[in-house]
Amino acid sequence: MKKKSISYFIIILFILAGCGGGGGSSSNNSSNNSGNTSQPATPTTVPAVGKYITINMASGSNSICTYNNAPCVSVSICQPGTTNCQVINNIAIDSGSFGLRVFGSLIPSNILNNLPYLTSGSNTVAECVTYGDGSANWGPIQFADVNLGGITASSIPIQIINSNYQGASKCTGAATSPNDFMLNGILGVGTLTTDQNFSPYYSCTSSNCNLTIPSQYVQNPITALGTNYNNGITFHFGSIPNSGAYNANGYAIFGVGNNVDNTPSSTVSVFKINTSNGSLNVNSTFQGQNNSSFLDTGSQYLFFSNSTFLPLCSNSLFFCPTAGQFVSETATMSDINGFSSSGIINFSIGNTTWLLNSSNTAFATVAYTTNSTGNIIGWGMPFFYGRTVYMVFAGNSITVNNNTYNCGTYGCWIY
Amino acid sequence: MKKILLIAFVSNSFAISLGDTFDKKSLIENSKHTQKIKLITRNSKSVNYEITSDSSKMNIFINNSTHKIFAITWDNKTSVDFKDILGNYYQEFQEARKNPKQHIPLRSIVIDDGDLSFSQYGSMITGFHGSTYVKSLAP
Repeated sequence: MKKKSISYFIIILFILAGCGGGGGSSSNNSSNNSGNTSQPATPTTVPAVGKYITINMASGSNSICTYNNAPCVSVSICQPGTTNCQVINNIAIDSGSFGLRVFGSLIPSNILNNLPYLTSGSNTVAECVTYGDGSANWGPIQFADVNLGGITASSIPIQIINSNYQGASKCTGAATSPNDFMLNGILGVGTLTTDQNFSPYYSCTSSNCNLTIPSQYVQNPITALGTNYNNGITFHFGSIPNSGAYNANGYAIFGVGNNVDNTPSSTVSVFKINTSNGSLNVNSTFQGQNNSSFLDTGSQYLFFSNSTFLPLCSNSLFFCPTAGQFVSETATMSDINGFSSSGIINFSIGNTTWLLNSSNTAFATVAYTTNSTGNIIGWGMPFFYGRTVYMVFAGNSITVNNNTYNCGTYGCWIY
Repeated sequence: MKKILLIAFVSNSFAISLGDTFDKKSLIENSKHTQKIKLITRNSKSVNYEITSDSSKMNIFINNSTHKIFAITWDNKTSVDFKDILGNYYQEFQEARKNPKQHIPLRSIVIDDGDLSFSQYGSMITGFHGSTYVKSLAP
């Protein structure tokens, strides 16, 4: 009887043991199953005229930006109105968050000390940004000029990550260093202008901090780059083999529909972003179910609440078809906000254990299940390889195939 | 408007922990006015309540014979406080966390030591979603 009850709640919650399941067609991309061979990625075509920053996958060292599918960029942070700047590399570009966060320890004191603080009366303002593993970023909000690919977002609020800043006890799990966080920072370029309503802000004296509503919020730097660059962001990545690659790269091109590099082709579909269940999402149908789905460069892998369509690796939430084989799957993204758009998403899933047994760092075929309630799909970094994905920021419109789409309060995703 | 936003962040902790003896009357009295408590299912073995606020939804599962909370799931705007949710099981969680048995995606967590299970994933655009249960507390 007890076993029956436990089984019931395991179904509700999550299962760690592997289980079999059906799936799509499979193909074998390897000559044998003895192991996965590392192979360099083919460089992605360089944008011709657009302004951009280069994204290098897992390009760091010493455990900073070295994890699989880590899309890292370089950012220059300057004292506002000056050329007093510091380039910081190994910052993850993340379409799943909003605003720039950088460890203060990486900014020379002659710059850091000259970045004006966001204040609330005579107090400084700090923020606690949390992550799924219980880690967090704590630190004050300061104003900086942020230079991206040669153009500047002037005097915008950014978070200076500093777990020693007063009030850090308000922020459980605050990362103490770049090594602790495995990144030098995060560049949040999601479709909203700021991170308002996503994380708590605090008004801080020299000894204590209390919740507050600040006068400004940490800002997505792309939204401050100026006309022709600030209405969205375009991600462009070349294809990689199913078995993965190393030295993969891509580009984040500023703006959407402004030049040859960021103008959607006639074959794309436009999806207006919804908000429901605390998330920004579009609908994706998979295995006969509607799912809230997300386009998120900050997610390492594809993820599905559905755990039953493929077998799982032993004692793991990762999917594990036969080593060396790749199961082809199809989902359909569809707009439910009046655009009447839909698009087929073809993707493949491989055996995680086999895939990660190589020195490749970019993987398009790794996926896991959250095994959670609710129907969700995370179109993480694997989704972006071999695609150009356009993200139109909230409050903007985009014209595709002579149709103009008003992207409304939360923006649009286009691919 | 400002007050509502502040409460939304404060109220992500429902002051409910795994293994607590459930006391609905106390929960209602201690709940902030933004929280709603709803009975979802009841059977001879267990009861499931859903607690919601402006930015959060939590489901708690109570063993009818012991009145202890043996499972919790949540959907939240920010990450839950692991110490709050796990209560007396936080130490066990910390020990299990030192020796993860599987590859885990960055910024997500999956722990299972045979009795205690815990998982959470999430980000700003997805929200934070998780669950935890103790097999030995289940009916």
